[in-house]
Amino acid sequence: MRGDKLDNVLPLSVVKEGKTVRIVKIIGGGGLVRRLYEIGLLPGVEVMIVRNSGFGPVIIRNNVSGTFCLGFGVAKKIIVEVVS
Amino acid sequence: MSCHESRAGSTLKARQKAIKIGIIGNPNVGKSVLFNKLTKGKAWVGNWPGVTVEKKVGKLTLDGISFELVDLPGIYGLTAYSQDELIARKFLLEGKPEIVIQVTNAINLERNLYLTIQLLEMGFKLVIALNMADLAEKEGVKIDVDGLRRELRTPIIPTIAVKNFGLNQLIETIKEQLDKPAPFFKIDYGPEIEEAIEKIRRLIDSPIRRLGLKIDPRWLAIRLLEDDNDIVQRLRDMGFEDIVSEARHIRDELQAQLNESVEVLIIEKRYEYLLNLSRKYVRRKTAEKSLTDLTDGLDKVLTHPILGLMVFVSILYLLFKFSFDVASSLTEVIRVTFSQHIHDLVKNSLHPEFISSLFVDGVLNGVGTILIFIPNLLFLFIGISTLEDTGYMARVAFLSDRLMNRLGLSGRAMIPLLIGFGCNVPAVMSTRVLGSDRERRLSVFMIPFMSCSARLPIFLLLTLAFFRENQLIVILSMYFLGVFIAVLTALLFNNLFYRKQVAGYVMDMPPYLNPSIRNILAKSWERIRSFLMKAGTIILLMSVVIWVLSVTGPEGYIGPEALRDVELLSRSWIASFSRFLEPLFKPLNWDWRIIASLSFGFIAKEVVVSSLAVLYNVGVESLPTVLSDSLTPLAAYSLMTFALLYTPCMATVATMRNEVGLRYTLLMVLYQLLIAYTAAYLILSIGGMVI
Ligand SMILES: Nc1nc2c(ncn2[C@@H]2O[C@H](COP(=O)(O)OP(=O)(O)O)[C@@H](O)[C@H]2O)c(=O)[nH]1
Repeated sequence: MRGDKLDNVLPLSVVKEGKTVRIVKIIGGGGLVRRLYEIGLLPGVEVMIVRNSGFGPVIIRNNVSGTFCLGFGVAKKIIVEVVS
Repeated sequence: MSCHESRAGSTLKARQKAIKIGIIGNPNVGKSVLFNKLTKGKAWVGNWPGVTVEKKVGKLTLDGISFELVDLPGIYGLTAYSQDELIARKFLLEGKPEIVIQVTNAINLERNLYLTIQLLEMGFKLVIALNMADLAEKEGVKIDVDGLRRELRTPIIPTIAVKNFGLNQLIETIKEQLDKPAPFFKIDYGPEIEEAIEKIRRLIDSPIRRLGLKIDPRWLAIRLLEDDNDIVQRLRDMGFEDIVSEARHIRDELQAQLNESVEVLIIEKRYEYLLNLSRKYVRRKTAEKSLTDLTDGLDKVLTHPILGLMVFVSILYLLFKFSFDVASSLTEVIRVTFSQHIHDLVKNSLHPEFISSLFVDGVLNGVGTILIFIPNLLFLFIGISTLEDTGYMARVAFLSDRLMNRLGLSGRAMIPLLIGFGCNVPAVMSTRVLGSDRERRLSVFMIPFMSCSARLPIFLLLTLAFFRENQLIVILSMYFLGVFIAVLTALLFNNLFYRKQVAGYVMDMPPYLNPSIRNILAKSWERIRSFLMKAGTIILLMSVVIWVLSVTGPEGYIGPEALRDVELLSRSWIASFSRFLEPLFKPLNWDWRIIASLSFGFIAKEVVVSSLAVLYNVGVESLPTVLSDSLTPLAAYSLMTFALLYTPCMATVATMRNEVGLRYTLLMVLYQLLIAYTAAYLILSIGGMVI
């Protein structure tokens, strides 16, 4: 997989603290997707990972949405690519 | 009467009827502060019809015009995804507010604008309070208010709710808006979607007009394209089944044509629109010492998996220590004043004996019990409100997430459980923020085992009588036992009913803020007041009922002497009822008087101590001495265990019924009685073997 372009695409739940990522896709049911969209987390949007211990909830931030805490289950369903 | 006069009459009437204003906004934008400031504390709390979510309504009078301000739940959108959103929408659709005030947070204006767009699409006259203007400035956020106002055709007033800044202008603007029409607002969703909207709009336009409904048909059409269940249901109820299915058809066609989810496309378009607004009217420059940096710095410690937990436990300890230490001296003052001075005063000034006994032994006892409660509750509420207002509660939820996940709950469930230590009633009510029914039920099942402050007097009394040396440790053991049983309960029910699911959730993390003391006091007072109204009346009533049941019996009126004479008292109704139950509690070795006061405790745990006092015919202050003559320490500990675990007060049961339904509530009541009995019995028998 190394060198493959898909290498960069991964669930938000495994991204390290301090990284900035761009949302590629959100998998899951209508309710969750709608809720995330409503608070401004939709494909193409960049967010910074403020806190992620790797097995619990993830705290993310950007200018539009502010700071949000996403449950582990939710973070797993957000597919992102690392920007920096 | 001439035509002119009658018209004047009706305007006057319209004026007398208050003009309805809804206050809406995302969570943590300062909505409660603004509401309290606008209504100057002249507000009352009720429930939304059909649900137990609190509804705050306040009055405001301006130049002879009276306004009724309705505080709506904190929400992000109007999709009817959660109960809160449904409530807000129901009010907007059915309550017909003349004006809607949206409180927004200037720091993340964009996220707030999503709700703004939805409100404007619904066709409301909107006034936007651009709150937290001070913090936005510190953060380096600059908003071109005039530009935004022109583009949205909606008044926008910068405010700093905590400092009263902008409130007068806000009020002036509300007045000006009264005579103005709602602004025209439209987002262009692109040719394909617009065509579908237009098709559906034409379908519903004339039926709606015919019915004279004040709903924007374009908005309705958009909602139908978004497949909004609530709207579909409403239209069906009005008999528009054909329109609904026709709209479905149009939507399916569109979906096939675009090859993507229409609702997602619509939301994306709204964001496109508001990001465009943001590019035009919002400027951000990195501030030197920003709130975000401060928050992140604090969060390094406070959300750290180990350090954070240590801080949390310390804060919890301090919270309880603070509330009990500070309260205890006040409680003492109230106790002394009540049981001596006022007691004697009333006793000596009222005749005949029947009346004076009713007042002293019934009413005053009740009032005393309520008053003795207030210091503890007040300081506990102040502590909890402070933690809420600083933004720390959200960190608690973050920290507890892993732990709570083991029980099948999300970290947010920790907050209702903590509130449960203060009072189970608001705790059960606050489970509403939790996403799923499953999560709500599970936490509602756990809450009654959180030892509320009403149980504390029972522990205080019994430890004072039996464990004077180790009072604190014994009381703490009760709290831990409660938590332990709650955890077992969650594990049991989650495995039994729900096969260990875990909840997905999304939660706002506000920056750390200096709490506003006035806001904290206002909130705490509100909670105290609701306690007084809900529990206070019950306690008072029960004290009188106990008095009546003690001075009368199967043979008729016994007289107030019964309260001083156990011989006489044993002929009362109370005694017969409790003796009837005595065989059941034989294994626990309980005297009928204990059974009697615990039965009254089912109605409100607060009355256990005061009814013990009545039944042993002493003041609360000398109860410890009397009790230590009639119980062993082990029996006292077992009694405390029972008091901790058995069914919480009526008020909690009633709230539970509203939240999770009668079936689950009954199940819970039986379950708790069983647990309490078993635990009390085990302690007595195992303890007996050990000692
Ligand atoms: N600095 C500042 N703080 C505010 C302002 N308005 C509210 N707050 C604080 O923001 C926090 C949340 O306010 P609250 O009214 O409880 O938010 P709600 O969730 O929208 O009801 C509280 O700590 C308030 O003291 C404001 O304009 N400026």
